[in-house]
Amino acid sequence: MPLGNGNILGGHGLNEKEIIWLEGKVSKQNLPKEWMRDFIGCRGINSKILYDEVNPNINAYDPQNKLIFGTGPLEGTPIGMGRVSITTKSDRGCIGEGGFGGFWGPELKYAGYDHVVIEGISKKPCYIWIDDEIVEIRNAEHLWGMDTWQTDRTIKEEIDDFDIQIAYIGPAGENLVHSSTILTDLCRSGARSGCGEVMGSKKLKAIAVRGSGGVQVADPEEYKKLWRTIHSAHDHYHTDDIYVPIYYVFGSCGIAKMYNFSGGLQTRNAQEGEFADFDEVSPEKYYEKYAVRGTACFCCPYAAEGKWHEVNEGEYAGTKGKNLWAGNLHSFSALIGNSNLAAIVKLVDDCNKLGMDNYFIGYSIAFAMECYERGILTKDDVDGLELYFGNHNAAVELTKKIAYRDGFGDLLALGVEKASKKIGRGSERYKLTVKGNELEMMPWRNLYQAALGLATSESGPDHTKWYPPYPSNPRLISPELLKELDLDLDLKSVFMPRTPEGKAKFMKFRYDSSSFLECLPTCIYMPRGKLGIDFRPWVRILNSCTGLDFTLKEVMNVGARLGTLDRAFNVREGFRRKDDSVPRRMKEEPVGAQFYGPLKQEDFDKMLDEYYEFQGWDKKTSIPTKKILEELGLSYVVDDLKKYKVEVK
Amino acid sequence: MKKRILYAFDDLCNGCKNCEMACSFANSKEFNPRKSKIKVSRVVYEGRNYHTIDCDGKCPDGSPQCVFVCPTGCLTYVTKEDAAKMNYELAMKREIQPIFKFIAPWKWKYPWRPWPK
Repeated sequence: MPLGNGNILGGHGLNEKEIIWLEGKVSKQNLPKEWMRDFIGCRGINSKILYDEVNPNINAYDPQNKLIFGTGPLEGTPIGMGRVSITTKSDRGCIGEGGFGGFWGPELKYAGYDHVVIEGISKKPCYIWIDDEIVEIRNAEHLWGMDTWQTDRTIKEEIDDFDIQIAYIGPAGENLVHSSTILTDLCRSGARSGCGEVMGSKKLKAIAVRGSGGVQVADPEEYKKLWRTIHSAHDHYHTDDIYVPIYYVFGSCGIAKMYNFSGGLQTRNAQEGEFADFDEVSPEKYYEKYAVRGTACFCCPYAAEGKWHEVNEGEYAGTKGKNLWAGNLHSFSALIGNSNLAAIVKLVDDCNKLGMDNYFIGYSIAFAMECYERGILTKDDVDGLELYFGNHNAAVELTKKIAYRDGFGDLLALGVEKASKKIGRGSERYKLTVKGNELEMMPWRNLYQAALGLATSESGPDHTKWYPPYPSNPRLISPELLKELDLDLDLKSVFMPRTPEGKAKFMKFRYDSSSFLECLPTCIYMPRGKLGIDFRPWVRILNSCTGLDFTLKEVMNVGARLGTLDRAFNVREGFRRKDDSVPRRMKEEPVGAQFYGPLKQEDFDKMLDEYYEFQGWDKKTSIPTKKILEELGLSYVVDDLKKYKVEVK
Repeated sequence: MKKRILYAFDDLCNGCKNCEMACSFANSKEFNPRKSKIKVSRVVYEGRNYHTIDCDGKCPDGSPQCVFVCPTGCLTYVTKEDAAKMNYELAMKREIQPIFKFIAPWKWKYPWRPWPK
């Protein structure tokens, strides 16, 4: 059962330092030890493998493109939170990086692997079965076309074990729909990067894992102490952080309400900033009407960050599933003008079953609706659907059409950027995309640091690369803390949401520290509560886990190295400063009842100039300079970029 | 003192497996679900989780670590009589406050501090 010329690569075991490559069809290999020091693991090593082995001459669906799953030194321990990073070259040309939580990562670690690299294209649909040392590529013709829930169930019945963990794609990934996702545990998806369609193009339906090993840490006493520190930091009862109680009780969908309150919830394709009917779809309503039980990722300290929900009445009766996130709530309510809560739940579950990115579906439907209302699209163009804002029946219908590339759905399945080019007739004015990917929940016009982060993140707009853009409570950041973090910040200017001053420096700090946390890996929502933005406990956790002696400065360098390497990958693919752009609507149109003016281009340019300066990248082109590359130990990148005729200054 | 038991209110469990990790870590200094005396069965298609416990509550680390790390208050170390009473209390309190669908009333003192608006 060959998977083309497939290779699967395993990584460093935590203690045995055993590194395994799977060679030929399947080969196991050890990773170089110095990578641990330079990139720690997970997203860091993923990016390193991608940069070294995927060159710009191939496209995303080429057999040589690699799909890399990564776990790190903390995986399998409670602080790892089950995070997995998935990295590939996306169909847009830039790096595609997304991650999921759930239980798949720990299981892979218990089976003895850190990284799984997939290359080649299978002749027939297949799935991979990893059972400790045994790695098989199995036939999946009977699974092809199944939704994610059926796939999960069928594989579990086939292997006859209810406790295995599986990562899979849905029909959207099989049909190469733009920005489709890889899911695990039914609803945890690695999204925003198009890794699902790359997996679909390789004809790989799923990766099932069973591991019987365990993970030991170097210093159990220290680890236990720190585990308690993190648990007590998220004790919602005694915290100063207003996010924590909201997270603890409502889960992330509580945050959508805060954005609506502050005029930052992008409504009707971001024409407005507040959704008037938000009370109809508020987290409290969801919580009273549909939520039944809590759900969680591996070892989450929050009690109910996700919910199991059931709809028992109305036209969407019979819908059940889990996890209504802030982003889901936003993209299926305010963004498409819908105030039917059951329809939101239905849309979320459809997206999960079909394997699609919620933001992509939200923004593409909103884009189609705006074009329809403005007369750019006629009823004939959209297969007779009544695509006005708020028509949830049409939204549900259109979601299925996109996943199966049926009629008008085939056009939208290209992504908003390409679809607007094909439609023409001035529809480009209403697209909201950066680097070919749709936007997401974070506001641009009334939170300048978010605008900077969304425009500059390497795999298209993605808040998880730097979230949160500001510390949730000013009192949590003392001058002493800043001194210890070696961060010379004017806090007052960071908290001003609509001025360009001071944002770049803080965002650079956010990027570096988030990248470090994703290298561990751990959930980036963890340095919260009593900790504020203080991520120092994680440096100690890393040391207690591995027995190494990382310092604060070193791990910040790891973050910077990862950011610059990702940028170098994009630069090699031809991305430049012009691609770190602001969508037209955000620059030209004001928003909200409180009247937030547009984000001025000169303000944005000022932030961007400063940001590039702090990163050590060239201001005109955004190409990393020779100086910073050498400082970060990436001098081989200089030669490599020169080979591809990129001018490094 | 009356004998206490480890009792799980399965309806409150969110399936995070913190308890499995705490147990295996306390007993074997290793994170390995197979070395845990407590097992969470996740019935994912129904969103339900069930516990199987084979432990008398005598933890090498003193008080049961699984109870300490449980974020929802689902796991308890109480007498048989108290557990029965708490089941009743949970059902009654849920009628008044939907929050107890997710978090046990005994996890934190209720009412909580003023809610941020």
